[in-house]
Amino acid sequence: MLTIALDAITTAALLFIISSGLLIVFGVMKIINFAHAAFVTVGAYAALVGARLALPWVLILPLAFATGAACGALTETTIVRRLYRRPLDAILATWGLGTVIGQVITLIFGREVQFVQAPITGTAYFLGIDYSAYRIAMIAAAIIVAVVFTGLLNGTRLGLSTRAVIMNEMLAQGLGVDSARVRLVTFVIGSGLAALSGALITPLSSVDPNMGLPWLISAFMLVMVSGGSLLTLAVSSLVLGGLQVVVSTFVNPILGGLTIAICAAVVLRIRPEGFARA
Amino acid sequence: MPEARQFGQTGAASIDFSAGLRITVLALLVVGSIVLAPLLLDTYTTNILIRAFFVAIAAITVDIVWGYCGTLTFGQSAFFGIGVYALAIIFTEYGFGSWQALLGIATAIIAAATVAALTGWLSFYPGSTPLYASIVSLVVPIVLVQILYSGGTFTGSSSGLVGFESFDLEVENWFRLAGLSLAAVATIALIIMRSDTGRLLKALRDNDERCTYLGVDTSRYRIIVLVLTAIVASLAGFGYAAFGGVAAPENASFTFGTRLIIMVALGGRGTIVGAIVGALGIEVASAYLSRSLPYI
Repeated sequence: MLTIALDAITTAALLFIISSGLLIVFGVMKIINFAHAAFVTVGAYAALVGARLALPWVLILPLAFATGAACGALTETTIVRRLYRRPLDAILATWGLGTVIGQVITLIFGREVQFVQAPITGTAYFLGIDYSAYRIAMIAAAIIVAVVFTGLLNGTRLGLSTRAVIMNEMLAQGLGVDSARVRLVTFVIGSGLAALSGALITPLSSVDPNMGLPWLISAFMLVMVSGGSLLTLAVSSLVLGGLQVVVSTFVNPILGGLTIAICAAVVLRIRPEGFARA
Repeated sequence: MPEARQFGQTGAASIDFSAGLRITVLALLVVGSIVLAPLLLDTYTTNILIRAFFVAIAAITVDIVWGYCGTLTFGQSAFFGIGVYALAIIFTEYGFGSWQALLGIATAIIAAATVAALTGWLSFYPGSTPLYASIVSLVVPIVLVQILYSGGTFTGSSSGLVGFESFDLEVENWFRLAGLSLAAVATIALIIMRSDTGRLLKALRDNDERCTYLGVDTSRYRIIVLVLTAIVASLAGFGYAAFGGVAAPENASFTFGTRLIIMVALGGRGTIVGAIVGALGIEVASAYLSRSLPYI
């Protein structure tokens, strides 16, 4: 029982880390970055390269973040910026970009599945049971992401501008906020976070060119359900992630993988604002 | 669309006659070339074109949902896949025969319509965004493929279903059947899109909010369009599987859904002819390219 509870919380932590980057981009730009999965994969391969070079994990994580951020900066300036007024075309363009990145990764690293050794191995004795230490570390990682994020949004000048753009972009522009810069920075941070989460999940799953995709749908639905706030994202990750673990354990894993998407769609249909202001 | 305008704006009293003549000549040309073409083409090209015709029908449905109604959909491949699997499962379970074929068609239509109605109910409601509808449309094929993977021998899992007995037609007649089906679907689609219904659909695309103000139940129309296009797409899938004799999870995957979008985008969305050109072009080109450059 406790194992399932821990599974649920750690799965929620992973989902939260992956979705947070998507959420901030959605909040500011009102578009969903369909290349998010590709950036997750890029981060995973950055971790793979880092691990091959025998870099310590303290360096691998920033490396992954920087790689993702660089990809994000390039994408924003070349593609996304031109499509702000056409959100559906932006979806299509980022989706296409995602496919291209996947193919490029396949060309460089090959199709085969690869593995990365976890930095923290073995089990930890936790509340009376032995549990994977790395998964517990994920809870800490999710909390760090949440705290840093909240700190950035509420404690800095840039965060203030970002919140202004999220609330009312026109008005913010009128008051002299450089919203193009806010968009660029948000997109870069979002992509960096995607890559970071990719690096974090590598020790738990294998690395292959399409590894980001299974997470993407869950992340999309979580972002839609949470309606743009970090707190509700955490709540929905816990509720739906927990449900996913329960279904995977007691019913069957394939259905478990679909739980989040289906539940979120039904929730949104019945209650269009999702978990927001619940 | 520019084409549609030409027809509409000729304006004078004589248009009925000259436009009617032009359309008759065009129709005769199309039907004639479809009937005669297999005599001139080699077997390989004919085979590719037959598949491409069925894919083009699916592309037309994407064009209607996306180009005319303004919902970017990755999900039409799911309905195509439903048609493919309806045929494959029934022919594998019960063998080949006329009642099995009818049962297959009925299953394809009912299953596709049910899934489409459910998808529509989930994606279109007052306050839903086009973005959200797109995401739901991406979820549908992914869910379907997962179900196919977990179906064991019933759905053939990841290797799909092969080796079932199917319609015994000559390749030339398959070509005519597929080509004429495509021409028929295209004609019906063109007629509907130029009618008042078509204008309404374009209005949904251009300004959903305003349509609501004018008293149009936009969600209902979108759901109806989705159900109808889903049925057409599933029948296309049915034909595709009947010709190919193979059902693979790829037929239902979002990758195929994306391919359909690319075809429509390349050919020109909002124009039925564009969807056909895009689909035939990409199908034929990729068949020949993958022969010489198999890994791209």
